[in-house]
Amino acid sequence: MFDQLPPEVHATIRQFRVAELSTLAKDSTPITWPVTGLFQPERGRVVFTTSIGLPQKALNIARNPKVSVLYSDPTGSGLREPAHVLLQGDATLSEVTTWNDDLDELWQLLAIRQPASKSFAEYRLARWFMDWYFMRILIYVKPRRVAWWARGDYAGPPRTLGSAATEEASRVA
Amino acid sequence: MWRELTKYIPAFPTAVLTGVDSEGYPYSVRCGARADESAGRIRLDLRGEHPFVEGPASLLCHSLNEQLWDLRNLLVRGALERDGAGWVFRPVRFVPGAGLGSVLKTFMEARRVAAAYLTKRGMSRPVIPWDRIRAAKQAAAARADKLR
Repeated sequence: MFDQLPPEVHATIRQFRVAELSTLAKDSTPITWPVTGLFQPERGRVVFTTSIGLPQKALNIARNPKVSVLYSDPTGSGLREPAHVLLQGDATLSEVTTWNDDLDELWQLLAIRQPASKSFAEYRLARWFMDWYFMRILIYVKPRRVAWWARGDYAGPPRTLGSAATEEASRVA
Repeated sequence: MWRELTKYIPAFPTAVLTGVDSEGYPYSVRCGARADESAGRIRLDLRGEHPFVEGPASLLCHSLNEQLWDLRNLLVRGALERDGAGWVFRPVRFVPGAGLGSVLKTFMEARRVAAAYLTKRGMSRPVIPWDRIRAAKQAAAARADKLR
């Protein structure tokens, strides 16, 4: 799917420092928190993680895999008037892990984009106190639908790729 | 709840409204949000047409700086409803996130939750590969232009 999307969508997903990941709670309330992730267009997915010390997103996905990911805060991206992008799809989870290729890539990304986080692994006391932070569950999202708004202008209908509901909104508008 | 909503929501220029579409998927947009305590509602400055269905929804307010630090966030759980003027948000619960309370308390709680997560599943506490993590962070410096 990502190979069918324009460069402005790729730029937003790749450069935005955070995305807003929504999962569904037991009572069906969508719960949204900011996350940092990897963009793997060659594998058709975006990858996020959560620590088992903050496991609720993973528990929600285990119950109901339907998620959305909105890219709407360009702070730190270096992009001027970027598109806002919404992915909707189904997520899958890894087992609890402390190291794999995706985590290797994520820790490298954060070392550059979030330099303050380097201290979490540097000092003995920080390592003892923060070891839970490095016990991770990976969240893999393959979108079934993508919507994007040029320059973050929600007044007009989004351009879309994928199935039904957002295209219905486009026809209504 | 209203004390927190009227204190914190004005600090964020916009919020992320998330509802659910007709296929049961979460659907998010960014919009303006204003707490209206007298009406018991959060008024939305929502542009355009969006495929929300009435029902459970949430509002996320969050901010970060250029170095992905100075993080602040909060979530309001509630419901999306239609009134004569369009969509309106009925808040039910305020959920504080990063930057709104004691960092120490948050981290202590996360340690407790992680331990409980492992115990419940009969898992032993994993050994963290600190050398690999440090090596990854050092390797990042050589690729900084690509990662930035």
